[in-house]
Amino acid sequence: MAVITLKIDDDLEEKFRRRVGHLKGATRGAISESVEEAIRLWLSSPDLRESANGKTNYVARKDDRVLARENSLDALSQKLKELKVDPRNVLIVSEPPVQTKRKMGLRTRTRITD
Amino acid sequence: MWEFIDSTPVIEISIENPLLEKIYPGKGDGVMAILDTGYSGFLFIPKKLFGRLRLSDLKPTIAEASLADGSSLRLTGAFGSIEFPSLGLEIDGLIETSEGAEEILLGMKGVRCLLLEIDCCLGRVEAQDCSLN
Repeated sequence: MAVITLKIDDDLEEKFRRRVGHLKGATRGAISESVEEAIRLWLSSPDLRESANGKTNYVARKDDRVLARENSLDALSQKLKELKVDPRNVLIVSEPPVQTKRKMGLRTRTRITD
Repeated sequence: MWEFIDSTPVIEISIENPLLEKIYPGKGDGVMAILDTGYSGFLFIPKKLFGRLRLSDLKPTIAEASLADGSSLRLTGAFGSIEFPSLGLEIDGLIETSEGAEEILLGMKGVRCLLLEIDCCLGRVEAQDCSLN
């Protein structure tokens, strides 16, 4: 069996451990087994960054220029930090775009038209 | 598993603005959101909470909702994340608010990765992550 030493984001590690605990409990080898499953899954998946596969990308734009495109908001946030771009100064959109029409119930108060 | 509150199905979530690193109610904590199957969006929150998460600092996405009585409502949105602490699951989407919003409503896009069982006899909701199915 191969041994890999990794450095990963603290938040990611915490989420991963919590998820492993939820799915497998605190059993011996649960972390290693889950990492192996995750790697197998990643290797067998199509590129998750491709929105054509039904996945969503998040894009930061400024003045019609695309500054960053990532497949999660966490990744986009990280990318903007690397680029030293303030997220408040860019327009964040999704690909495919979110529809601008919604259906809602009546658990809201103010309406613009009656 | 979550018990109904006031005969209403609820799910525990935490809400995050990853772009400006704000989370509500706090790291590892959760708040009960109303499961609203009549809302086709992601997450609807009170305006005060939208501001507290600094979602109001981001450039807004405007949408319009048609309500059940035929009226319409203007929604202001910004991209953020929902975490389901007990499932270790996090998903991204457009978090919305409007004037007068008082409750946290979890819409159908917000539960797109969940297999839900709503037991109205026992008054409880059970959820499983089905995102990898």
